[in-house]
Amino acid sequence: MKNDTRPRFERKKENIAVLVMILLCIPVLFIYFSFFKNAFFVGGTGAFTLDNFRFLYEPIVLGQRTVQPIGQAFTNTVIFTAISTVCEVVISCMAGYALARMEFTGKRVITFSLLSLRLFPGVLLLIGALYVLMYLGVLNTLFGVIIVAIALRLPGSTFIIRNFFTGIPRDIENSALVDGCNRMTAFFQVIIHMVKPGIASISMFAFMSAWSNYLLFNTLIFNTKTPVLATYLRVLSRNDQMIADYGVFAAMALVYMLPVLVFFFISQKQLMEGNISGGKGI
Amino acid sequence: MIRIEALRKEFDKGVVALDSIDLTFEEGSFVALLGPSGCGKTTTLNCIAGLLEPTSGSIYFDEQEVTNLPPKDRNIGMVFQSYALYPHMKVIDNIAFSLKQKGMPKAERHEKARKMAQKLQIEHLLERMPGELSGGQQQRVSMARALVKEPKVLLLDEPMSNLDARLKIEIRDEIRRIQQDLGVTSIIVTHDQEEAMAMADKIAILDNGHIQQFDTPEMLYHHPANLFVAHFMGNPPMNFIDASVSIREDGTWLQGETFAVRAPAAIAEKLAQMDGKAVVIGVRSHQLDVSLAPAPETLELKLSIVENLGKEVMVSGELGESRIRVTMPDGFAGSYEELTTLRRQGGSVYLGLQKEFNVFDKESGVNLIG
Ligand SMILES: Nc1ncnc2c1ncn2[C@@H]1O[C@H](COP(=O)(O)OP(=O)(O)OP(=O)(O)O)[C@@H](O)[C@H]1O
Ligand SMILES: [Mg+2]
Repeated sequence: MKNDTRPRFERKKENIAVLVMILLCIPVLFIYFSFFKNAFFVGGTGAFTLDNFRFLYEPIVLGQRTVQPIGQAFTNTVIFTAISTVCEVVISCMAGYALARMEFTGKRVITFSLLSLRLFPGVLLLIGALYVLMYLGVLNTLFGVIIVAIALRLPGSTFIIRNFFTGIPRDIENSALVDGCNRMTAFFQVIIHMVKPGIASISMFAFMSAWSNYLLFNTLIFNTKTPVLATYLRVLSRNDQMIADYGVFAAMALVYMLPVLVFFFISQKQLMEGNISGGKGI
Repeated sequence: MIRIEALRKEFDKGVVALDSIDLTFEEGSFVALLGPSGCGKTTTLNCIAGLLEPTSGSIYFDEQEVTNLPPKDRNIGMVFQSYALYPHMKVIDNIAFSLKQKGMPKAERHEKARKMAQKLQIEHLLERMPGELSGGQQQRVSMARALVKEPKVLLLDEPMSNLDARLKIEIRDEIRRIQQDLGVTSIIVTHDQEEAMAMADKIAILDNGHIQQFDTPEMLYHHPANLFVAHFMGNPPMNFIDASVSIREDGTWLQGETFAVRAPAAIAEKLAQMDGKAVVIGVRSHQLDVSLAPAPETLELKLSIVENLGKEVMVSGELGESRIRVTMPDGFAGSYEELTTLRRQGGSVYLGLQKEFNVFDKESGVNLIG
């Protein structure tokens, strides 16, 4: 490094840090390595194969069981993820804005309970949720799971986005009001643009949590008519002979992971840019 | 014309930010709201803009009552202290934003924005984002944005407090010029009395949510309504001397601890009924005669500092409780060196009151002369 002007002892420390990091990375790299090896190469011979990916389009036989193609589970997961992400983002934006900017009674109580609900483990609420769904007659349906999933996540994301709204300079909002907006048009033409990083981050988390949601489907859906990717994967690991086929398993995991990666790369640009000020230093 | 009647604004927890504000702004005039921090200037402005709802009282634009109209229906332009440009829009869209809200087609509103930008000499910046502008440039953009809709009223909330001293003066002249060109009624908030004096036709002085005086800069300077305004206005600040009124056969005297001076006829007349009243004499440096020799009816000022300001010499010292600062008048006998020597020897100069000065009631602060 030509322009490295740091003192020597600091560079020496850095070398040690790099070494430690490499050592720590080796096991992780090994996992990745065997993961891809399992997915793309035949166990004994080491020849390249896409055989493990057959579950994408046809039923496959593992031991004594037939595994249905992934199509149905994939569709369900996409529907579930899309609906719950969109609802979560829209609702928490509206609620967060109201909590940040409007005056109404009970505002403090609501804000405080958002925070405490966020700290409360959602699993504990599942039994209650089960009865509520039963009462509403939507137990065992995708719709029921969607409601619960959104409800469990709303406090957290509302709280996060509320803080983004609070950070917007009031002058900018006032300026929009003076310039001919009402609250609604000001929200969509000005405010929303200034919380883009916040929206990116809550939608990112909403997406990831919905995509990988296993708990709710495992508890609130009892039959195999509504499979999602998470429960689909489980079928595989619950092999009768107690021996999982790691090749297929790795291949499925890869398919499972792909959309998350794609989504992450799309939204991370938004996550990184964080300019919400409207002028010099204020 | 803008008329404010009995305006009152309370915030939560009983904070009274404004109380019984009555003001009338003439059409096309430039008015400054001046006062110390927290006195309610921004609150007044926001009530006029409709961004805050008054607790009571009413606001009229011409004869139309606007007290409960939302800001967008008041046709106002506003410049904020932080400029408050929309960070996600190009400068030209920032300027044209209010026209867009009116549903004006794009070509037309860009045309208007461009014209306004020309007036403010920022055409070359139109394609930039606000984040890519300097403070002064942002300031101009926000001016253009406020003016492009041809507002009935232009409101400016400390528009120059983020600029450096030289730019401040430049922009100040610019604002004044454009205001006069367009003839738009304007209200500027500031806590800089010099700025207010330089720009405004009339100045409203606020303290603690009350109007102290609403008058022209000259009147505020020469005839402050009370001690607060007198303290606030003018640079160098007015000198204050404690005294009491004493009416004798040979005239009306102002009696201090170490002096007694006879009040000039005009002032004596005003003090006629006030024998024995504790007052404060308010006198500006140019209203004082200075001499090196003692004389009857003069105030002895024991020198503590002698400063050479280049174009003039200023001395200051204690007179009773209060500190007095006087610049030496043109043609004063003593030189800077003489005065410093005098100071070292513990000497004094003698101040004579001229015909004009102000006398305030010590208790209520009201100007007894003005
Ligand atoms: N939203 C609010 N809630 C409660 N009190 C407020 C609020 N806004 C202003 N105040 C109070 O009202 C008073 C006047 O405030 P205002 O902002 O008008 O002062 P200002 O004259 O503009 O001061 P500055 O020169 O510092 O801007 C202050 O005492 C302030 O604390
Ligand atoms: Mg203010």
